[in-house]
This record gives sequence, C-alpha cells and structure tokens, in this order.
Amino acid sequence: MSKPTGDQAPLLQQPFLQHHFHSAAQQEASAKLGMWLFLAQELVFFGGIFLAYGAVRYFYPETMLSAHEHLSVPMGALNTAVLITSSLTMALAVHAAQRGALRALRRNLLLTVALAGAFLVVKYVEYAHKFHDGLLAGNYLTAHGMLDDDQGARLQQAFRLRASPEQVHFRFDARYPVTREALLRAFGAHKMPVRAITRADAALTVSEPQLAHARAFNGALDDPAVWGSQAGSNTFAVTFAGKPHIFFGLYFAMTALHGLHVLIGMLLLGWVWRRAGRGDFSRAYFTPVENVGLYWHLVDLIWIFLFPLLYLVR
Amino acid sequence: MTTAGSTTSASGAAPAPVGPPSAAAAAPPSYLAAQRGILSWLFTLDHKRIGVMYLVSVLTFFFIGGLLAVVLRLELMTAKGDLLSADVYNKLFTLHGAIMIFVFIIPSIPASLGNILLPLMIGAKDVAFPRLNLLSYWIYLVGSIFLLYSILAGAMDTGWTFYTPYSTQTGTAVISATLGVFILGFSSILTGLNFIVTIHKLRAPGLTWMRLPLFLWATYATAIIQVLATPVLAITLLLLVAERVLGIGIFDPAMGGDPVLYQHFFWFYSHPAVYIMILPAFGIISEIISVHSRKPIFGYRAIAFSSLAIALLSFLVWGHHMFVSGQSELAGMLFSFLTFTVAVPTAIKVFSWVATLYKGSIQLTTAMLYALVFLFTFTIGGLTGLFLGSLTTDIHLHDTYFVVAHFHYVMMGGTVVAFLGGLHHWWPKFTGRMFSERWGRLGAALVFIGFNGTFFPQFILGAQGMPRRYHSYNLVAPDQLPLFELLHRLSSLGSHVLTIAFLIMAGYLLHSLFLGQRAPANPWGGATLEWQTASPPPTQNFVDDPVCSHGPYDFSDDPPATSAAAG
Repeated sequence: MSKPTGDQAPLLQQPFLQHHFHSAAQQEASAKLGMWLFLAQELVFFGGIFLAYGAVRYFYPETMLSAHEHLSVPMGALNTAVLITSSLTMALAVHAAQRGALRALRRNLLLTVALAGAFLVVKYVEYAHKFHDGLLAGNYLTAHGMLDDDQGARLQQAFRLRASPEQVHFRFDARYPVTREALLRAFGAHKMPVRAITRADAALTVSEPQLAHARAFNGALDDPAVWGSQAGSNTFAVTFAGKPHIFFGLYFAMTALHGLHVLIGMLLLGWVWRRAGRGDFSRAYFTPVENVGLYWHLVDLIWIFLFPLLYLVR
Repeated sequence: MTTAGSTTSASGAAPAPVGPPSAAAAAPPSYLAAQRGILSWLFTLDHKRIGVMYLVSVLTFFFIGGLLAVVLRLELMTAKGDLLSADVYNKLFTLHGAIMIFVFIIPSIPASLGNILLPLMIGAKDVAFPRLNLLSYWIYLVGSIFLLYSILAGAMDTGWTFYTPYSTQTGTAVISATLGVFILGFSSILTGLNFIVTIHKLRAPGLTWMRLPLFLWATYATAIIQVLATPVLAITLLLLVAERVLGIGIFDPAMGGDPVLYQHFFWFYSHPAVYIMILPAFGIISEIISVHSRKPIFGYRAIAFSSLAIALLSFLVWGHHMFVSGQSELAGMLFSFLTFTVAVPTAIKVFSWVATLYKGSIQLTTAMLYALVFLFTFTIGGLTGLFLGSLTTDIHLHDTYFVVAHFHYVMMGGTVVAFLGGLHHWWPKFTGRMFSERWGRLGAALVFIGFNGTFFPQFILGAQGMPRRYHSYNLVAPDQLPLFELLHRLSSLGSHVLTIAFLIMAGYLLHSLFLGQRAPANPWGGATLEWQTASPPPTQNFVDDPVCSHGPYDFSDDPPATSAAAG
C-alpha cells in the first residue's frame, strides 16, 4: 500500500491528492476536520462580540429597547429570508456535487452568490439610511438627520467634544432662530428620546485641543477659523436618553463583521464556481464545495442570531 | 532571514548529492540541502524549513526583547531615574512585554520546535495543511512588522495588556501595535488548527494515541487553547480599536462603558495564553527527562491527560487577574478556588518527572541540565502562583515585583529554560551537527545562576512593597531604600550573568553549525520516531513510511525500533 519514495508524478486517478496523504479519504477527513475547527474558532470569535452585546444589554436594557426602534424590522426580516434561502441553494449545490451534477452545482452556486449579493444590497440600503440619520457608532452618533427640514437646512455642524462625550452639540446658522422646543419636537417625532437640551452659547468654550478631537459630520469643524468666527452663537447641547451611541457602536461592529464574512463567502463561492466550471469536481472529489458550504451555513446561522438580538428586542 | 540562509550554506557544504535521480538508491539529500536560495526558504512548504524560519525569527525577537530588559535593569540599578526618562521607561517595558509575549514566547515552542517535530514524531511527511502552515508564518511576519512599526511610530506606553481607558486615550501608537497582535493571533490559530488535524489524521500505522510522545500530547492541548481562546483576543482588540477610533463606548467609563469588561475580555484569552506558553514546555521536559535518564516515563497517561486537564481549567481562571479590579467578592472566591485546582494536574506532572528520575541512569547532558533547572525554577514559579491566587495575600502582593518574579519564574524559568533544553536536545536532529557539550553545560549553569540572581531578589522586593513598572523608586519607601537598592542591584547583576550565558550559547551553537561534529541519527538513544531518520532528515522525512511498533519511551535494546513498511 505504501507509495514509492521520491518525487513521483501525482497519481492520475486522484488529481488533487497531495503528496503527504496516503489516500483521498484521509485527505478529505483532514480537510473536513480542519474546517470544523475553523468554524469552532469563528463561533468563539463571534461569541466574544455577543458577550459584549450581553453585557451592554445587562447594563442598559432601556437603551436596547429604545434604540432598536430605529432598525427596520421589514428590512431585517427580508435579509433573514434571503440568507435562509441562500442556505437552501447552498445545500442544493452540495447535493448536486455529491451526485456529480456539475450544471446543477454551478447553477446553485451562482444563485447562492446572487442571494448573498442581495443581502449586501439590502444591508447597504439600511446603512445608507443610518448614515443619513446620523445614527452612527460612538462619537459619530449625532442623529442630525432627524431634524426637520428647516432645522436641517440651517444646521452648520453637529459634533461631540472629548470633554463631554455624552453630549451632541448642534450649531445653527446664527441668523435663524432655533428653539429648544422645536428641537425636542423634531427628535420626538423620530422616537429619539432626549434627556437634556441646553443652549450652549455661553457655556461652550472650545479650546484648540478639544477642537482637534471634536468629530464633525461635515468636516468644517476642522477649520478653527470657522469655529472662531461664530463662537458662542446659536448652539445647543443635546444629551440623548440612554446610550444610543453604544447600541449603534455594537450594531455596526456586529453587522459589519458579519457583512465581511458574507463578502468573503461570496469570494469563496466564486472560487468554487470557477473550479466547478473547470471540471475539477466529480462524485469522487468535491471537498471544497462541502467546506465552503459549511462556512456559508455558519454565516447564515450567525445572522439568525443577529436578527432577533438587534432588531426584535422586547 | 540571514541566519536561516547561513544555515543552508552551512549544510550545503555537506557532501549531500543533489539532483540526479541515479543517486536515489543512496540517502536522499537532507531538507537543508535539498534546495538553495532565499526563495527556497520563503516559499517552502516543508514543515521543517518553516519551523527553522520560525526558530530564527523567535530567537531574533528574543534577542531584541532581551536587550530591552537589560536596559530596563540598568535603569533600576539606581533608585533615581537617571538613565531613561519615565516616558521612555514606560515604552521600553511595554515593548519588552509585547515582543516577548506575542512574537517570542507564544510561537516559540509550538511554531518552531513543534513545526519541525510534529510530523517527524508521528511518522508523517508533513503537517496536514502545508500551505496553511506557510501562510501562518507569513501572517506572523506581517504581524511582527506591525508591532515593530509601532516602535517607529512612537511606541506605546500602555503595558502589554493595553488596559482601558488609558489605552483609548494615550497619544502613543496603540493602534498599530494592537493590529499587529490581532494579526499575530491568526497565525497562532492557524498553527493550532493545523496541528490538531495533523495529530488526528496523519499518525503512522501503529502509532496509537497511547503511543503518542508526550511532547505531542502537550502540543495537542496547546493547540486546543490556541484555536479556542485566541479568537477572543481578536474580538477584544477589534473592540479596543473601535473604542479608540470611533469611541463606541463599551470600555470607556466617560461614555458609559466598563473598563473591567475589557479586563474580562483580555484575560479570557490571556490567561489561557500562559498555558499556550507553558504546556509545550511541559512536553519537552517529559521527553528530555525520560530519554536522558534512560527510563520509561513515570505515569504516561497521567501526564498526557493532565495536559488536557490544564487546557480545560485554563479557561476557567481568568478572573484571578482582577481580584482588586472591582470584581464581586463571590467571583473572586470562585476564581481563587478554580486557580488552586490548576495546581493539581501541574503537580501530577512534576511528581511524575521526579519519579522518572528516581533510579534512572541520569546523564547530565546539556539538555538534561536544562530539564533539572526547569524542575527547580518552575516549581518555585508554580508555588508562588498560589500566593497570588489566594485572595488575601494577593491584595498585598498584586502589582508588586512579586508578580514580576512569579511570572518570570514560570515563563522564563519554565518556558524559556525548557525551550533551551529542547533546542539542545533536538539540535543534532535539526542541524545534523553536535554542539560542544562542555560549553553547553557551562551555558546551562550560567543560565541557572543568572536567572535566579535576576529574579529571586524580586520576590523579596515585591514582598517588601516595591511596586512594578516604576522607573525610579527613591520615593517609594524611603526607610527601605537601601534594601531596595541592594536587591535591585543584585537583580541587575543577575541579568548581566544571563546576558553572558546567552552570548556563550550563541557562540557554541553557531560554531557547531560550521565546525561541529556530524550528528548520528540518534545521539541520545531516543525511542520516538524522529530519531529513526537521518540527522538532518530528508525532505520527505522518512525513506520508507514508518510503522510504529512500540511506545515512545520503550528503551529496551532488543525490539526492532522501526520496521519499514512492506514495500
């Protein structure tokens, strides 16, 4: 049974058998075990961020409840359906590979890639909406998109300062009066609970280093001249209730990590699709299809947990 | 890389025939002589060459990290901070820690010795995934470059633990350093994954689990931790970078976050990580003690399973790093209790090694000397861990030099000493050359003296209240100043003895590469499979696929050590 020593040409009947394996079965078992171990470490990896989610939910349950209202359940549900369907087409692809049906294999792989793409498109639409609203991670959360049209047109800057990271400062064009009550109404209309809102004109003096740390959504704040010329005019400091900046920090961290995995999955699916077209796979050898399938099911599974945890908080 | 290249040329001088297949009947060329040129190293899929590249890399980083430590010790020779500014001191001890932990000690034994030995010991041609193996080396290089880049970018001053909220606020190069560590984590995960699959699937016929060399049981237990703990570090560091760049607010109290949450995250990886560092060392000691006392190991199964037990328990004790961080008292008690349970499997190992030595025919070779040094220093390191694992004494001792001394007794007196022992034990196998035993024994003796000289005074310093990470100590406890200064000077003196020991070691090892005697296949009379092939082994490891017919520590003279598979 032992192979002759030295560098022999690969055995023709098993074109993808590497030299250090004795048999195709040994190679396949190794590849499978390797993939399962990889999935195990993926689970621990995502487990870490789920743990962070759990801790934040434990610290700030009201924030979870109120901030999740800004996520679109129909969009999330649509994406859940898309991903579950893609798991089906992936399973069909593996089944086709087992039967040696290469045309069906390629068709199902292509369908899976298309569904993955659809998932990312929906995600893009959701992200774009959050960017528009200013519902971003941490220091970048300003919620400036929730102002009404008039206020929005007059808004010059919205930013947080390092010295008071929990407050968002809104600076309006000094020529138009904007009232506290109008701001409250605008945020209230968008279910963005506000804990405190003060005129910051007098209180707010911004030093150079603070300026450097301030996060401006339009970049204009980086220019000290802009600030200096209008300092003290028509500025409000808003403290939102709860910690929405943490919720959206987690939302973006979790969904972006998952989205990255979807993207990598698409590349892997494309690679397997190309190999299938080249005729690499047969009933005797289709390990890469199975392993990419395992990976894809895991990506799907993680979303199955993300969707209720982020979108369906009760 | 240059040293790796010189290794090639050294063995290239050997009269190993290269090329014509007519020579196939003769011995095939060794893995060192099979190919030449730097590219044949950088793109090799041969686990032995990858292991050699790891070996050269980790030794280089050990040298850099060691130099930093010597500078730190120089500063502490006087109570005032007169050599370095406080800022530079903070950066140097951070770099010393980060380099030693992440690019030296974690990859040291598994990725270098383990890579070379694992397939040899199980009679395989290579690891299960050779390309993944090379990829993990490249990832290691990229991660190291990020970490080194942080030095150019102003270094960081957070300590190697990157504790928040300071790490999210300091103006130093935290991001490039943490990204470097993040990348290095992938290398560790992929190596562990590769090793688990290789041990499961590629063992030679007859090599049952109960015939597996104990080094591989240890490597296996290590690999489990690498695969299952490292991802938590990855997510922790990503969250830290997100905290720093975006201010997402889960670790920063100013934004509603919890810095202790960061510590939980960090130690959930970093405590198991100390077992990534020490378990392979246990494995090496099992091999050396058995082979060099010519006696089957005592308690094979107990040693094997205690490695797995330690791997399991390692996940349950991280909270003992936070006894004084505001963790609940109940949690503190539970973690303290669980920490004590780790002592059980560890003691099983130590007693088994001592029992193996009993009535063995002990040969005081260099490797054996390192194993004996290990027994001494590791036992001190392990037992002082119990002081720190007890809630009450920890309140007094935490953040003092006692912790520094304990950690170095375990990591340097344990892992590094075992690594050196393993390096000497397998040096003939790796290079095909014998080193000078006389110089080797001198080196081992100096390491013993220098190591204890450096770190034993630190136990006393810590117990007397000297805090760690202080760049000057003239104001710490004025009434104790003479004692502190004396002990610090002893410690610094010890570090100079250590430096001399390492220089001697570098000297005779390099000398052996060029002028050492040719090594026989089995210079120590080992019974594991790696000794059944030539020194250095051919690229394919074995001329005929080996079949294992006896246990790894069966030193009886008669059995046919290895029978070649029926051709």
